[in-house]
Amino acid sequence: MITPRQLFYKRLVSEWRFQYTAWKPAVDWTVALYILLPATALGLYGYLSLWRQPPAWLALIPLNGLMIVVFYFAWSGTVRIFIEEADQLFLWQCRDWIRQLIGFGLGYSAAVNLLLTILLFALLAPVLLLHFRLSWAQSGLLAAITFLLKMDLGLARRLMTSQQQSWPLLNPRTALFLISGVAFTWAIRPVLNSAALCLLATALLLFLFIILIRARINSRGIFQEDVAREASARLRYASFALRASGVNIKKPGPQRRCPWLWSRSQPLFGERNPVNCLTETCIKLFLRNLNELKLYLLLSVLCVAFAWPYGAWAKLAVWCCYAVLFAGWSSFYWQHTAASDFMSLLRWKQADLSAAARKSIFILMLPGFLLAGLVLGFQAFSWPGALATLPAAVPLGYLATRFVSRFL
Amino acid sequence: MDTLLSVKIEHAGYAGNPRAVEDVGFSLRSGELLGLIGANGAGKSTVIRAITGLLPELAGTVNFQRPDSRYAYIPEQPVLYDELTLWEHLELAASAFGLERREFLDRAGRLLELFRLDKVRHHLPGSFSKGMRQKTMLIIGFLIAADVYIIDEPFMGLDPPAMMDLLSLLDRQRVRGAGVLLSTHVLDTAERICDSLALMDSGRLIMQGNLEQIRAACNMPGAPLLACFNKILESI
Repeated sequence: MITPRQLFYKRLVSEWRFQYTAWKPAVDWTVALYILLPATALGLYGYLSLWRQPPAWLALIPLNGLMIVVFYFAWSGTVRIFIEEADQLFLWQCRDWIRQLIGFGLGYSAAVNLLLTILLFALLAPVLLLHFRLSWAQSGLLAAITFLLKMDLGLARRLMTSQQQSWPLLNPRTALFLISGVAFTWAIRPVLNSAALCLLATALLLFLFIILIRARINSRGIFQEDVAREASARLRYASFALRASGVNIKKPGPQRRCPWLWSRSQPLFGERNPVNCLTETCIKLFLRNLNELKLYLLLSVLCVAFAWPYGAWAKLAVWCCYAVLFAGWSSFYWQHTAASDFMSLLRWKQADLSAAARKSIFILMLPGFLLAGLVLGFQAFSWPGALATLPAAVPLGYLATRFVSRFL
Repeated sequence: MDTLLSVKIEHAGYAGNPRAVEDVGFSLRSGELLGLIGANGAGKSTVIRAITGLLPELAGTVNFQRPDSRYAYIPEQPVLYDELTLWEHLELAASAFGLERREFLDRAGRLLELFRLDKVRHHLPGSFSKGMRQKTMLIIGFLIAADVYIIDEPFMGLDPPAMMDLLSLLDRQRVRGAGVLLSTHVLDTAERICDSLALMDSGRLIMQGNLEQIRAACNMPGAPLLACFNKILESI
């Protein structure tokens, strides 16, 4: 007969199989050959350059600034427990099974988060050791504290039930984010400089870890939330890959009563015609989805980080190519909007759809493209460089949009 | 008759609405079919989720007869594991409740024949009709010899023969001593099959008793349940 451990392994294998199936069509041999392999080679070259000689621009970044990135890493991600909707039929009443299943899930999440933390600190090692002059012991302790913080924040967020708040600042998640973020970024330096404080911080986080794990394993009444979060976590990155392959994925919907943006259904465009309404729909769907916004921001940050190590003109050349990347990324949002079930109930003229596609893609790609241009332009040629990217972004974005929309 | 389930809910609900239901109390006895009746949005499913421990907010008590009492929950929308076959569902349930292998094989084989699902035992539930999915959930309940069957809106989407099948199978369990809590807004079916009724509206229990008692309370002898229910709502 089946044991809880066997059931967990089955669910884990199913999860891996799902992710593999989702990503396989999107990452075919052309993507691997023309994008992944060159990007990996360039990235490796940039990383090895950091070890040889940290670049001068690192002097602009204080340790606290880097800790903001580290904190964001600790905040991001999720803790999985592999609960499924059908568990409510009979498994939910078998508390021992559920406790074990959740325990295995938390163990798996801890292992994954540990690997990710090690990877992050391996990438940050040249900056921490050579530029900020931290010792190996201090860097190791920082990694340990980051890992424990990541687990604690993930568990704490899972224990919070979702609240329908009209004012985001009253949301306990926001409060947790602000308090833990400020505490981490400001306290980390003194903690790393004192063995006693280091021990205290590690012990505190470990204690919290144990308390939160026990609370999570024994909590009841948040089953539906857990199921929704598991579904979201499963589709977190897979939905992007599936959309890239043309599959329309319906993610679990939000639990708010009103949207946080345009809560009174305000229009974006004065003139009400099919093109503007379609464009408005696409923009609102994107901006009201925090997960999509986070991914978009992450893309912008990664683009900046990727081009960062190179010379001034190379930076700007890469930035120009980013126009196609951002336009392509934004086209996924348009395709998701156009392929939704509700849209298929209405009859649209092809000309209107095409015009709305171009308008949506152009509007959505510009902010990220502009942000990357401002940062890279500033880094390349200071303020004149940054300001020069502003007028250049519009025609580049327009051309990239025309190019990408031809393939829709 | 033994009391299998005793429910005393002061208030229960969700994070944004912790008082979705208030002051709901009833008991389910052995062999009884208790109908939880009300319109859409009355709070029937919320009460059921409170009983099955799926609600985040609950003030009150839900007591089964024994600590090791078993219930079978059949939700309105059948939920099964997409990647497990019918047989694997049964194996999982048997493992979770500690059924011996030989006993499991014997019971599962008989139940699959009884419910006429023997030929699809190795099929995935994605290919099943709603009736077949409900039967799968019922088989699980029968397999573990549940003391209480909790069924949310069982008649939605079922054709008449499937409905008769369902009622006949539940009757067998009631003879065995199990109790059935059934929520529905199909009042004419409820009045024909339920031993007792608990009427809900706007999250509150507004009346309970058997059909005769409800008719007497409304001063409408011989009237259909729908008429009594409407009169009660008008008087609130």
